[in-house]
Amino acid sequence: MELLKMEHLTKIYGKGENEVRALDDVSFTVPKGQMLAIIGPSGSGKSTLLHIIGAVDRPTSGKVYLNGEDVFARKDEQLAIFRRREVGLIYQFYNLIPVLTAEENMTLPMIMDGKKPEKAAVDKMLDQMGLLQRRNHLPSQLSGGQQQRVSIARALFNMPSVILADEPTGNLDSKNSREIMELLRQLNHDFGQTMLIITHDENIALLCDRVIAIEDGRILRDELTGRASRTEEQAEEGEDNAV
Amino acid sequence: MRFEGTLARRYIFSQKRHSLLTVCSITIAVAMMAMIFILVQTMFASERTHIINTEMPFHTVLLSEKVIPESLLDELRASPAIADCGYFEPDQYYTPEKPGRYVEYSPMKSVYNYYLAYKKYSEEELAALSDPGSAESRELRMQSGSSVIRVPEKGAKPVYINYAFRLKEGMMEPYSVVTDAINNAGLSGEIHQLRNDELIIFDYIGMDGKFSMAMMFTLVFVLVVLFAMALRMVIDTAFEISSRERERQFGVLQSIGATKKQIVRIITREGLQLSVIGVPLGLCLGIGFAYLTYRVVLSTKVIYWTWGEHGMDDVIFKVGAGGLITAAITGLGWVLLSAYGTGLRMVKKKAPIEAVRASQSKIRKVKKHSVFGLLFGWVGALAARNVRRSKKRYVVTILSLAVSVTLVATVSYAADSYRRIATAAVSEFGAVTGVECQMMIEGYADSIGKDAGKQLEKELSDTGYFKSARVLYGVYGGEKLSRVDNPEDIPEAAKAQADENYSLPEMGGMYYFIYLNEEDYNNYFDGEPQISYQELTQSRRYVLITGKQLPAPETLPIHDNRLTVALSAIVPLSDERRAEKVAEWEAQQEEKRKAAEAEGEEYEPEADGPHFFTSFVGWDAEKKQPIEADGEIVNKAFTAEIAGQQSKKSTLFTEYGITFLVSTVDVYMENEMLTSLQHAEYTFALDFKDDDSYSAALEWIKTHPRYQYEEHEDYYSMVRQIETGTAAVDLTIRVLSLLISMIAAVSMINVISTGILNRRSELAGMQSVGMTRRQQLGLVLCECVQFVIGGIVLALVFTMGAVFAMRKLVNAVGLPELADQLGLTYTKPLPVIGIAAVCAFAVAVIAALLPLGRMQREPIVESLRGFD
Ligand SMILES: Nc1ncnc2c1ncn2[C@@H]1O[C@H](COP(=O)(O)OP(=O)(O)OP(=O)(O)O)[C@@H](O)[C@H]1O
Ligand SMILES: [Mg+2]
Repeated sequence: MELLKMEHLTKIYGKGENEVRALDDVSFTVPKGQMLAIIGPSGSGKSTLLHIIGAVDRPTSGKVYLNGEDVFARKDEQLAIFRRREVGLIYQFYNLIPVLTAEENMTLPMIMDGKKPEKAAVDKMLDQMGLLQRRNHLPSQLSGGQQQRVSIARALFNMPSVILADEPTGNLDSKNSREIMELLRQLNHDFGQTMLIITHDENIALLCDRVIAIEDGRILRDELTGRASRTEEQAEEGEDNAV
Repeated sequence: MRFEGTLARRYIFSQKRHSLLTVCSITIAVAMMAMIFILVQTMFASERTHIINTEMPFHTVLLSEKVIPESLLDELRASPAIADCGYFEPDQYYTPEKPGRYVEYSPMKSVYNYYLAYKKYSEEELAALSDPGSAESRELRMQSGSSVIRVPEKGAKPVYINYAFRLKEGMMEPYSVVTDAINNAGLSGEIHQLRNDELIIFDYIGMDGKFSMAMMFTLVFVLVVLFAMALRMVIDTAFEISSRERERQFGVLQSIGATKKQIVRIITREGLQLSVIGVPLGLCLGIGFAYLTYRVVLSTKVIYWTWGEHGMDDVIFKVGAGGLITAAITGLGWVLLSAYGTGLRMVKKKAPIEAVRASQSKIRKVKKHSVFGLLFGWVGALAARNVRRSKKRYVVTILSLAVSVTLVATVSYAADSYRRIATAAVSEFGAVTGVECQMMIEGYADSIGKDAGKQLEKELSDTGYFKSARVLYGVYGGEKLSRVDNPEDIPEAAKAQADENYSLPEMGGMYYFIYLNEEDYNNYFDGEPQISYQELTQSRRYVLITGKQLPAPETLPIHDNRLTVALSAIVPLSDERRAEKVAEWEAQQEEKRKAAEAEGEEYEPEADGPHFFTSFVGWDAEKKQPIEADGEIVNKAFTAEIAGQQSKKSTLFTEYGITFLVSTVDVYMENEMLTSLQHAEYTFALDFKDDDSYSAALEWIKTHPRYQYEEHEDYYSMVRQIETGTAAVDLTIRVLSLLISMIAAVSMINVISTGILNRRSELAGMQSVGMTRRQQLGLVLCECVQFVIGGIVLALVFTMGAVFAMRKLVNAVGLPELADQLGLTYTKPLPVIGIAAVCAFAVAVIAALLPLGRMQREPIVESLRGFD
């Protein structure tokens, strides 16, 4: 069953001479539990697409459905709650709150929801991310890789329906990159977490179930990798695990 | 809720400089509001105390020659309009401010005291005092007002009963309740009602008081609102700036699911937490500022000169809870409004991603070429772009600078105009009075010898208080006053003559005879008498003094150059005459008793015997007081032959509204009708050494009853009043300008220093690609210059516009010469604006260099990371 459905997404920046079609009539669906890589040259519209799916930007036209519900039909307040509960956005440049510690950054979406994070869950996540020693550090006291891991932890902690990652390894060395990708892969495997990952790295793209190539705001290619066949059963497994 | 509070607190502590700035802005705003309220309250409270101490502590007073019926008093006491009532003596009031109790009905009081205490009252009120019918009031009218102060004798009976009322605030016209009660009792002619209008105003009594106070409060309110708006702007920019920097963070918060409400709540929380420090601090500072202002005002002699010696005691520093609470609430209100408004602006963006990209995507357009670029090369061009990066910030800075410079310029302009008018008044003062001296006093000599005046002159000089003390002129004679006002006392023959000639309706029918010796005679006419002393003596005639405000001679009852008047003189009683008078009085008493018995009433005999007028018979040099004796009024017809007319320049002279007739001592001596020439009265012109000698001299004069001091001849204090008044206006304007400048400075410091702090990583980035510190300094200075130039140019436009409008207005009103008097020229405000420009630039440079200097001392990588 499909989790995400994009319908004729178009995003136009600027007007007249300066008009940029960042997305041009993009439609595709993502089934639950799929790990999807989006590739494409710089300026092709990858980030724009991700931002629209994450509801931090609005399409000029077209619709996004999550679990069959029209995302942008929601009111502002509901949209914020949608972002809080349904999406986990990982930015290329981390975008942590500089005045909050690693742990606080991570638990913020849940706290905003008025829930009290369980200590065990927090410790487990921090441990998984290798941040146990750094839980009380401010972002400015963390390395790039550590900050990235905090932002991933923040996206994952609330168990959103979909994880959106914009070049999560872009700023990291190959060892760190590999670790992060393995982590994401693990999550996808263990919990059937649906993921959209923007990347420039062919190797990373190949770790995913499906690759969509974008150019000039259009889908150029959309193909399954060798792992695609496993998606369905994995999803079922994931559901079992999640319960 | 919890996380908003945490975030707000974290922001406050992580961005110490911003927080400090915001706290400062809140503090200053609250301080200024508090200061204004405290000063207004202090002013009102002091004014009220001054009224109570100088006038009376009651709203209305009843004066009656008879005992006021208890029934009327009971009715008034029961009235809802009246709070309080009782007898009072002018010197010993009872009020909540002066604890004590009502003074019992005292037979010590006489109309003299009343008259002397309330001389300053209006003509009507004095007229009420000199109501004909009682012997005392007649006697009162015989006094020249400036003559000897008498203390009533023990056992003397009071003429007036003073009954005082404090009114209640609530009713529309509580004073008319009193009037109506008097009228209903049929006593309207017998009971006079005085109103203490000023206290009525300050106590909000009735419509009058409420209306006047409403007017005053409206004025204060307008001032407060103006300041409040300016202060609101300060707080608003502080918030705007500190939030703008975090726009990206708010975007991130939104993107991970914070609702707009939560974002607004974070900023509002922050404002509240900062207010917890800012508001109390502001209140303390405001009280401090106000106290300082109060001390400064006290240290200048403004109060002394406007309210007199005891005026200082009337000034009360008053800190009212109401004012402080209003200031705190206003401050808090502004903070919440600003925070809320800023919060709303932060989340106004259509999509959160726009906020996340805020720092980069904000700049949409840049000017490729600028004047600054041409003048200062690439540094200038960069500065020009930077300054216009945030339009709002640029506009706010320039506008606040322009508005405050314009205000300061116009305010100092107004001060200058006021000073011109005031100094013109001071310099014209001599011309107005016609007397080139600082004070005129009168002095009595106990002889009429030629050097009597010289002796007094010496006595005055010997005190050491005066720069100069000289005789202006002398007057000789025991009885100077002549008046036709008691026809029943005038012998028939005189009456006939007087009735025929008495026709001076406006002037009150008063003639003033002055007999001078040769020296004084010549002085009196400034050495140029029309008729020589000898000629006047030989012809036994009089010179009629004419002045601008005197009636034209043809309107005087002069026939064939002869002026006939009835001369009333108080002459000492001989023993026989005295016995006659006592017998007359006893006969009267007997008659009254009989009349009372005939009516069936009980007669109460008058306690103290017949009243005699006091006749001045000489000066007791030892006791330093006048020698007095019982006397009676004698009226005679007297005809003076007019030798000629001469005018005296002094307009003050003519103020008396009395016709003056001048002749020589010899004429007086040889006239059998004028028999008691026993003393001389001199008028002295005094100049003081300084303020201290002025006060000392006044004390000295008080303890020397030989000399009489009249307030309206005290030009020294009048001039000083104007001068210190000018000084007070000056001071007020300076304080105002300071406040305005402070507001402008704070908002400019806000904008410029945070502008640098916010670009910390950007500036570090420039450094990292090879920009030298010197170049960076140049860049920042260029930016400052642009802010200042923008503001000053706008201020020039505003000011010139104001001058233009004023000139148009003055011309439209039809007083083009007023423009020159006020100095309404276009060049006039330029120096002030120039100074303002320099100050503004200095402030801008300090605001820019402090954070820049600190930043440059830090390692570049630190700055690159961006956060405090
Ligand atoms: N706010 C904006 N205003 C105008 N144009 C924009 C805006 N944001 C993106 N664009 C344009 O839209 C196009 C797509 O941008 P987008 O950021 O999605 O590219 P991208 O594929 O993520 O590139 P990269 O791999 O370099 O991150 C680009 O041509 C960009 O110039
Ligand atoms: Mg991108």
